[in-house]
Amino acid sequence: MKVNGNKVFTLLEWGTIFSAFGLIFTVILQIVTRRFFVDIAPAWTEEASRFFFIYAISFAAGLAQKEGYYVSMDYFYRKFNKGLKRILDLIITSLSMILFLLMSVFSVHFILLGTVETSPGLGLPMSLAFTSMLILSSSILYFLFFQLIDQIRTVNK
Amino acid sequence: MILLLISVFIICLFLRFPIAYSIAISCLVYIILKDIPLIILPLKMYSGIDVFVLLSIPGFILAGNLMNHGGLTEKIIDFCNHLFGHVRGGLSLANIGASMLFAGISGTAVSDTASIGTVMIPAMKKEGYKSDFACAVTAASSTVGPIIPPSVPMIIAATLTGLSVGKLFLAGALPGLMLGMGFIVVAYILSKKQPHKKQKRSSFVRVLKGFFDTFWALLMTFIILYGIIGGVFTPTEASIVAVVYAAFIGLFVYKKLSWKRIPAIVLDSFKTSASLMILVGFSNLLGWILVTERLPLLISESLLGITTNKFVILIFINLILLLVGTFMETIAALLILFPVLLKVAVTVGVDPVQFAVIAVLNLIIGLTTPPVGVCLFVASSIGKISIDQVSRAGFPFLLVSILVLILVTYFPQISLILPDLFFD
Repeated sequence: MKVNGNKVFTLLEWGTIFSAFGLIFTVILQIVTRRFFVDIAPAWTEEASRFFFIYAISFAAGLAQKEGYYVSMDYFYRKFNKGLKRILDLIITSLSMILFLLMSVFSVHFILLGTVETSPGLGLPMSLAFTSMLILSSSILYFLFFQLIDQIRTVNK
Repeated sequence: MILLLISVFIICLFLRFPIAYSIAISCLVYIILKDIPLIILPLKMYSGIDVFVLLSIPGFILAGNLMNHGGLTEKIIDFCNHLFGHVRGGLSLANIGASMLFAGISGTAVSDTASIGTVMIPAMKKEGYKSDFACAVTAASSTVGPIIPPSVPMIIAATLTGLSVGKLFLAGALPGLMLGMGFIVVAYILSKKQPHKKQKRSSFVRVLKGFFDTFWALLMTFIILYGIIGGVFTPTEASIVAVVYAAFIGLFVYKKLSWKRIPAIVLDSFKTSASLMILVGFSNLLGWILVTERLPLLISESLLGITTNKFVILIFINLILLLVGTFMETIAALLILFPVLLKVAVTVGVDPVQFAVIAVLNLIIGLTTPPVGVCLFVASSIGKISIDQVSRAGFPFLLVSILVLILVTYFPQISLILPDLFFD
């Protein structure tokens, strides 16, 4: 199943690029304001750069899953036969899906916790920052799901 | 319970789960059995990556990628060829020299192996060097990347301990140079047996031109180090200054970078960073569990129960780290073991800055040793030969790394002289 051109993929790509440029911009602003205008950079710039960073990482996490950026140790795996490899692939993807499904569900609880807190510098509800964890876990889960379908098809062939 | 956690982790690791997921699944089993609320999963992930100094990691990775796509790698290799090409083993020396220069902009070993290796391995083979030697030189020399500043493992070590990133960067500089110089000596000696052609000596003007071409890369390393050590920038700010500088050099000086390619480079850099940060986030959860179970204290008491002799303890620690480094990825091993072993090392009087260099050096040696040496894999796939052949040819270089490790372990001045000079 081709997911390369789908909207979620594009959305995650744009989310990563926007957050990355947001991070670069706020850090530059921090340097410029501190060096040329006031001795201490406004506190909100550090907070904003942290928010942009976490969002950039969260948007990129799913893309990294899809494109195999997560390092694994395949020394023993390489020695297994084809059939065993296929079964193992199914187990790895299924268990990873359970992990990120649980993380997605409890990210919602985490977001709810953040509704009563505000960030000290920007005054934004912390639930906004905590939403990044839902994006991170659900996007990985999303690509794991398509990976599982591909693996089931391969096994059936 | 902790034994179950470790067993699940090892099983997952050996079954080829991504390392980050292996950590998370073993923690999940522990959390469920201990009836801990599962909200701890996103909570610890968030708190693990919400650390200001970690923002510098994607910055340095992006700056390195921008420089690489901006044509810097070719210029570094070109300069080193003109500098060393006419001597015995010239291309192998150029390979090592290029890795040392590239280390100043990259901070990771694998990108070094891939970038330098794709140019240097075919070039060395064409000049008559044996494939295994060409691959071994490339893989070994790329390990200077994570130790010469800027260094991603050093940033991680600083995050784990609260040590100054600037101090750790400086502490790694001299051991990194020693490593590189040691590789150059070995490559020079081994080149006697290589049926390679010598290149013509380049004119002084040509070497000078090559130097000016790579000058911009050296200047970036200087800006980063001066900025951090001089108190001009924080490490995060230095990394973003490096990004802007690298983009400017690629776009307007080397003119090899186009505006169109920048989004793809940004995406690639952040995907790499995301894979590291997920590891950091889940390791934060693991760290919390280990502390709850008082494991660092238990390990510390067990080791110190055997002996309190600093030199013997350091031998133990080196053996543990070398062994783990051969099986596990550098950052993952650092995240799990560094805080635990640091406590033991500090108790017997080892400086934490020196210990960070010892730990990173131990773990990067694993990048060129079987069974999971990532640099070996990359180099052997470029050279199209087996990993066994590369690791056999790389044995003399491994001995150099171990010699430098011994020197760094027992002569703290090697790591501490530069931080002491600039910070005190």
